[in-house]
Amino acid sequence: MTRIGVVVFPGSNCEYDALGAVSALGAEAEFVWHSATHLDGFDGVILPGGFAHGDYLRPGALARFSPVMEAVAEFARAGGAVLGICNGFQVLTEAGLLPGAHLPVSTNDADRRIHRVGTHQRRLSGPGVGHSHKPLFGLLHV
Amino acid sequence: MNYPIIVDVTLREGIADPEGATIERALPALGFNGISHVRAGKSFRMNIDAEDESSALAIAAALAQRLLSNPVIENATARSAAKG
Repeated sequence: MTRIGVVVFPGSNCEYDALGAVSALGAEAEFVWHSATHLDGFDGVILPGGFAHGDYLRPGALARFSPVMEAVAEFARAGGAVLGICNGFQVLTEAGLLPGAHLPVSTNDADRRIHRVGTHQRRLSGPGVGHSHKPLFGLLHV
Repeated sequence: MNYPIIVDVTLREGIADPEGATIERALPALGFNGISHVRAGKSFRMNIDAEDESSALAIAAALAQRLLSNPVIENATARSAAKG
């Protein structure tokens, strides 16, 4: 059975949603605490949403120094699929695993906001980042 | 020796600063006119053990690059907080 690790930082709050979503897709999901130093035996890794370390400094700025992020980087380098959702995505940009930076968003400029969300989506689906549709996306029937 | 240091972090030119823009828009209503180019930022104050002040500033600059700022979108400068 496909096995997915869901990384939990202090301040994550969407880890149960991720766990439930993976289970609903018929795969096995397991929490991985931020102090973990390896991701052996997982077919994919999810960094869920929330407010890791209270989003202090910048979203993801403190979480990127968690021991587990070394393991996530190693996992990604070895071709493993890593999915960052919301705050998890921000952690990946701070860790340098995704290009660019999380930009401050003007709340009274809807056009700009949409544009920026689009920018993130384009990067997410670009080659070398969302390259492999397995193991998680392979379970989806869209 | 122990040196008091301040690190200032500000958004780079061209990066949208919603906080600064919102403050600027509120100023006329408070009776402050003729103020433009408001930029918000962060300031970190710390004491650093080092041989001399330039070493302390170098440590602060390294810390600013690695953690306190995101060099992609922010500038960081370290300065002495010692009262001259």
